[in-house]
Amino acid sequence: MIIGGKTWPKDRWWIIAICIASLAAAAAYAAEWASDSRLPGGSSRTGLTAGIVGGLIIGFELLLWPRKRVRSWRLGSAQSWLRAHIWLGILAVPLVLMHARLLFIGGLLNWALMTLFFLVIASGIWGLVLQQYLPQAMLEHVPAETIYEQIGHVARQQCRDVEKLVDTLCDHDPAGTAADTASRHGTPSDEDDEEEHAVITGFRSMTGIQGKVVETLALYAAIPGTLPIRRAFVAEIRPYLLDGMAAGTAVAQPHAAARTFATLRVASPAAAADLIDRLEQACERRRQFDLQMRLHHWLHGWLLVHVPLSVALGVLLAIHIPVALWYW
Amino acid sequence: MPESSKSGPERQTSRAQVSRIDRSYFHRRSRFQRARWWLIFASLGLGAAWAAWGAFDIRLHYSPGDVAAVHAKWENDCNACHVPFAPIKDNTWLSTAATRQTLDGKCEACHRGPAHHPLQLTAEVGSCASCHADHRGRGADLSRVADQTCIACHADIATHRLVNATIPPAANTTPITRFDNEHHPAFASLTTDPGRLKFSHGRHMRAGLTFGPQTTGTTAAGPWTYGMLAATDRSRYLSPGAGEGDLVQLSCASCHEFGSSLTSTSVRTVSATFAAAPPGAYSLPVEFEQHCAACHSLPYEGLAGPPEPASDGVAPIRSGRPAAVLPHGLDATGIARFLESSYLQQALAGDATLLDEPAARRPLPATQQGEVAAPRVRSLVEARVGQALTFARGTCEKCHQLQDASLADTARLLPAAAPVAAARLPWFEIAPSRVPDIWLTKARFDHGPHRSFDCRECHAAAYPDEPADGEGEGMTSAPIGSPLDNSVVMIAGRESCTACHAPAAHDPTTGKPVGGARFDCVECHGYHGLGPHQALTTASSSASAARSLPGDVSHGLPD
Repeated sequence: MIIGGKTWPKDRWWIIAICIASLAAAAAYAAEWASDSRLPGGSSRTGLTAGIVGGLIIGFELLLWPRKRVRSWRLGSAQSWLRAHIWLGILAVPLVLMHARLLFIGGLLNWALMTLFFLVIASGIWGLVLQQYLPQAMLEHVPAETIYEQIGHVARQQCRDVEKLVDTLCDHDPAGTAADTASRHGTPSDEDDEEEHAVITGFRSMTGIQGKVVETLALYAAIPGTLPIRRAFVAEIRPYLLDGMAAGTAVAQPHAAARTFATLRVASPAAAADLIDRLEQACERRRQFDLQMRLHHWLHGWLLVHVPLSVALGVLLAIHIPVALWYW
Repeated sequence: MPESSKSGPERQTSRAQVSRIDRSYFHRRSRFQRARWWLIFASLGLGAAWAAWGAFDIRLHYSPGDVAAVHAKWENDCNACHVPFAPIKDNTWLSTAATRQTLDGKCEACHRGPAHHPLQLTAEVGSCASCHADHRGRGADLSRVADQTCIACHADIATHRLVNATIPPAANTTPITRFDNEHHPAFASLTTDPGRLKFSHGRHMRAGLTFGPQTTGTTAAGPWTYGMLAATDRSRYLSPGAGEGDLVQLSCASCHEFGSSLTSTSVRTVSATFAAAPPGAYSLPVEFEQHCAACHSLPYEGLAGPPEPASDGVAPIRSGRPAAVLPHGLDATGIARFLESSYLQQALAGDATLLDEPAARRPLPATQQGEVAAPRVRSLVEARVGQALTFARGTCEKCHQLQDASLADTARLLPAAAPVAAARLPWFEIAPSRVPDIWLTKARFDHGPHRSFDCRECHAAAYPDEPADGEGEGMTSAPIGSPLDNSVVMIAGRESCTACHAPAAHDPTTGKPVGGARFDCVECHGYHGLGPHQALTTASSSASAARSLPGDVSHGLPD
């Protein structure tokens, strides 16, 4: 969730509210500290109050997870829940600190709780910071963005498209094997040879709007002298289009790809220029998919820390409350 | 599901070719989602494992810290001090009188914890654990409570005590917020010397024990030399390297000894606080026989040598060897019986025929021993006793305050023949010396940790050549070196303490580090059982005070 911008009016009120609540709690804590001479602990008046409120906040924070499982319930918008999740989570920090005697505490459970709490808070803040920048970066650098889970599917689709072009327009390699012309994914491109058109994914940018388009190309006879293109496709381009960076081919790097395609242009007839452009564009889109995957991992990887630790925090909190009330 | 995602050769339809997205992707979990679920299950498992582990080691998991060493026996027995669901401190929302009573009762099963002050507001007194918080480690001192627990009331004590008509509203309301020269009052118990012993530290600390010329000589008027002391005493007072002809030079330790060996007399007279103090905390009481008798005999008859002239305005205490001396520590009755028995013994020893004198016409029971003495013996003894009393009075009043007394016949060994005769005898009573065994009555002091200091640093006024700079509370009332300086309190006051017992800092002029010693309230003060309030007990003690000698007021505790 992005803080600021259009949502600033709502965020502003949250910020004001948590500042006031934090200052009020700190003032009450300081007053009890001054009158009692010792740091008020979790059982003191302000410490217990802060602990109860902090515990309720943690409980509310944990509710965000089941809330996402029941999106159809009219429980407020997801944005409102997320906004409350963020700001109340930040408010919980001073409250929990006051409940925990400013960390002058003992006991393994207490320390485990505090460690988990601050790891959860830190991972949440890290995720929030990432969300301020990475979506914009993805918008700018990944115009071919697709659904993360669909990257493999789309990559294979794109590979099939260009493979069809290569099979139709390029010379057959007399030394090649069947595997050089058949789709590695079982797509029977040979069976499509009789078709006189191909549907491929293109990319257009117009008046500031950019995105993918589906183009239908008419297919004609093979272009003589395009055997180097076929060989380059089989050796480097197709593995990269299918497996991305994991293929380890030279076209994964922009500069190396530029050199590869420049060489192909020199070695191929002018009629194959459009085919080479489309292969180069396909490699570029694959690079964008790779970048999207990296950005996606950054954008969502923190959840692998945040969510499990939040669950662990909830478990230990459920132990802490009855134990603390039993002997306090 | 689009055909493109299926394996096996098949023909792609146009619809499949334009189907760019797998529309069923959301039915399958991505790697991220699967990893997240695994981690969540792992977290739940770890949480459950933690709970199981905690059940086997409650102390490690749930105790906020080790209990103090004095409570180590109950480290694993929470119920020894705690009560389930009852807050042990009373600064919580859920504390009630019932829970507090229950929990304090557990403490009081071992610790008496008497009340602090008769005028304390009960509602302001915290529970035991509120002040003596445990679980702060083995080495924690539970009695070392924070200053704020004291300051909470003493910063404005007038509003934190019961209103009592016997105490003026403005009395003893000095705010105390910390120990320094500005926020802590001067030590009230050092204002005056309650003792009534006539004494001159100045004279006793001078070489030769005299304010006169310090030239040794053989005349009785000269200063004391070691040779004038009895052999048994000489070794005790002899300074290293000094000879018999040298002037006697006493030191503080000559009279003020530190240790635990109280004499049988002192054991009966010291205060309970003194008796409970660690050995060496306070100077042992000065004993006449041990510290004074070497020079001060107690004659009640004429002396063998010529009298010493009064060179410094004080009656002479020494003029040769006394022919007969009184034991120290007798009251009027004791003196009477001692003198009567002595002279009666002399009479019988000098004239044995007195033993054969006829008994009285009507013999009384044996307890009336006087009846067996002949009238002429009685008159002889009474005459000698009268002379001895006159002489002894002069001896005693050199150091003590005296008051005329009358003795009942039953108190005497030889009852007076007639009331008129008895009235003529100058009986006297010796006022108790009232020298405090502990001067700082509201605080603790221990000479032990201060033994590296020169005595002069805190007791400068006891030295005859020390200028009186008014450093202590009672040091300005009498000039140093006066013949009698017993009215001077020779203990330095607050300023002497704050030189060290203050926050560590550097002297702005010398740059040397100063302070650094502890200066919190409990460093010197205790809390529990301060005893009855002086003002509240005035009425009840007035009757007994009236029976006491004039000025015989106990060294009352200041508020």
